[in-house]
Amino acid sequence: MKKCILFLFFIIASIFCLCFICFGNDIHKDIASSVDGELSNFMDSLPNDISSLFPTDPLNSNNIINEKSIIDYIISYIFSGVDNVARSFVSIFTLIIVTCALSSICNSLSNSALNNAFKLCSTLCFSITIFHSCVGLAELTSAYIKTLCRVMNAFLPLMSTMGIMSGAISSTTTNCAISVLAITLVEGFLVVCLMPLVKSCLTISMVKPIGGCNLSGISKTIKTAFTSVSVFVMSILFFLLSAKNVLAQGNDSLSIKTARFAISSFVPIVGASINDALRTVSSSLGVIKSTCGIIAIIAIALLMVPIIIHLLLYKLSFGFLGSVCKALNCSSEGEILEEADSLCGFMLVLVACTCVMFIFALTIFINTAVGVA
Amino acid sequence: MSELKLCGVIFCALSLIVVFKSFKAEYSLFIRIAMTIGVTIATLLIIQPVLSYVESLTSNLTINKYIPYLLKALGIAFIVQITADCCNDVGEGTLAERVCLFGKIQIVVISLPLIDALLSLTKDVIK
Repeated sequence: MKKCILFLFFIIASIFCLCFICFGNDIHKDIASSVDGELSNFMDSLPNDISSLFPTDPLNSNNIINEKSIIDYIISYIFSGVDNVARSFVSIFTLIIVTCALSSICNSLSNSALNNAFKLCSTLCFSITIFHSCVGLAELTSAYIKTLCRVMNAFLPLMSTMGIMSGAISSTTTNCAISVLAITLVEGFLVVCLMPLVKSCLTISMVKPIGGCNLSGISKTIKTAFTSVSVFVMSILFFLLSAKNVLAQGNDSLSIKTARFAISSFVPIVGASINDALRTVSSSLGVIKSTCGIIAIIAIALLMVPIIIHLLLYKLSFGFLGSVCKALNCSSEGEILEEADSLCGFMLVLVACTCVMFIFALTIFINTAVGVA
Repeated sequence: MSELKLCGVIFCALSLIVVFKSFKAEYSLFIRIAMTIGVTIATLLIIQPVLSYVESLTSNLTINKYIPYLLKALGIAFIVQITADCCNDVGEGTLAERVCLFGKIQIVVISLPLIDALLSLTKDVIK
C-alpha cells in the first residue's frame, strides 16, 4: 500500500514537472507580451539608426546583439566625424597660415599702433571661427544629453512595470525615484548651464588677445566650480542609488520570503506548487528584466558614440592647431585654441559622467534580486 | 618687374634726389613721392597673384567671408604707413600722426561687422 502511494506520488510529481517544462515557455511569452507596450515605447524613443540595430521582437529573439551592425555603426560615425572635423580643421588651419603670413608682413610697419589695429582685426576673425565651432559642439552635447534623458524617461515605465511584477516594490520605487531625480537634475542643470558656460569661457579667453587683460583664471575657476558641483551631485546620486537599493532589496526579499512561507505553510495541498509557480514566473521576469536592461545599456552606450567621437576629434584638432600657432609665434590665436581644447575636454567629462550615471542605474536595476529569491 | 630692375631704378632715383637736394629741394621731394608710389604699385602688381591664390584657396571654406577684412585692414595699414613716412620725410610729424590715427580708426571701422558678429554670438550670455 505504501509503495503504491509512493509510486502514485512520483507519477503526479513527474506530470507536474512536465507541465512546467511544457508550459514554461508559454509563461515566458505571456509575461513578455504584458511588457510589450512599454518596450515598444522605449524602442520608439531611440533614434532610428540605433533602434534598427536591435531585433524587432527582442524579448523573443535568441540574439539581441548583432556585433557586426554595432561595429558598422561605430565605423560609420567615425568616418562622418572625421569628415566634419577635417573641414573645420582645414578652415582654421588655412586661417592661421593666412593670418600669420599677413601679420609677418604687417610687422614690417614702423608704426606699432597700426600693427596692433591689424592684430585686432585678425584676432576677431579667428575668434569668430573658433566660437562657431565650440558653440556647435556645445549644441551637439546639449542635444545628446536631452536625447539621453528622453530615452531614460521612456525606460522608466518599463522598469517600474517589471520591478513591480517581480515583487520588488521597494527597490523599484527607490530606483525610479532616484532616476527621475537624476534626469531632472541633468536636464535642469547641465543642459541649461552648458551653453552659457561655454560662451562665457570663450568670451573670457578672447579678452586677453583683444584687450590685453588676462582673465584666464576666471575661466578656469568657472569650469572647476561647475565640474566640482556636477561631480558632487552625481556622487550623491550614486551613493543614494546603491545604498537605498541595498536596503530596499533586503526589504523586498524579506516580504516575499514571508509571503512564500505563508503560502507554503497555510495553503493546503497546493501551497508548495504555488510556491514553485511563483519561482517560474520570477525566473521568467528575471530573463526579461536582464534583456530589457541590457538593451537599454547598449542603446545608451551607442547614443554616446557620435558625441564622444566628435568631441575627441575636435579636441585633437584644437590641440594640434594650438601647437601650430605656438610654432608660428601666434600667441593670441594659440591661447584661444587652448581654451577651445579645454572646453572640449570639459564637455567630454560631462558626457561621460552622465552616461556612466545612467548605466549605473540600469545595472542596479538588472542586478536587483528578483523578488522571489 | 624683376628685383634687380627695381633696385636699379631706386638707386637712380636716390642719386637724383641727392643731386636735386642741394639746389632744388622741392624737386627731390616730388621725386621721392613719385618713387614711393611707383614702388608701391610695383609691390601691388607682384602681390596680385598671391591674393588671387589666397582667394582661390579659401573659396570653398567657411573662412572665405573673413579674408577680405584682413586684406583691407592690411592694405589700409600700408597705405597709411607710406603716407605717414612721406609726411615725416618732409618734416610734418603732426600730419603723420593724424594720418596714422585715421588709419587706426579706419581699421576699427572695417572690423565693426566682425565685432558685431562676435557680440551677437555672446549676447545670449548676457540675456
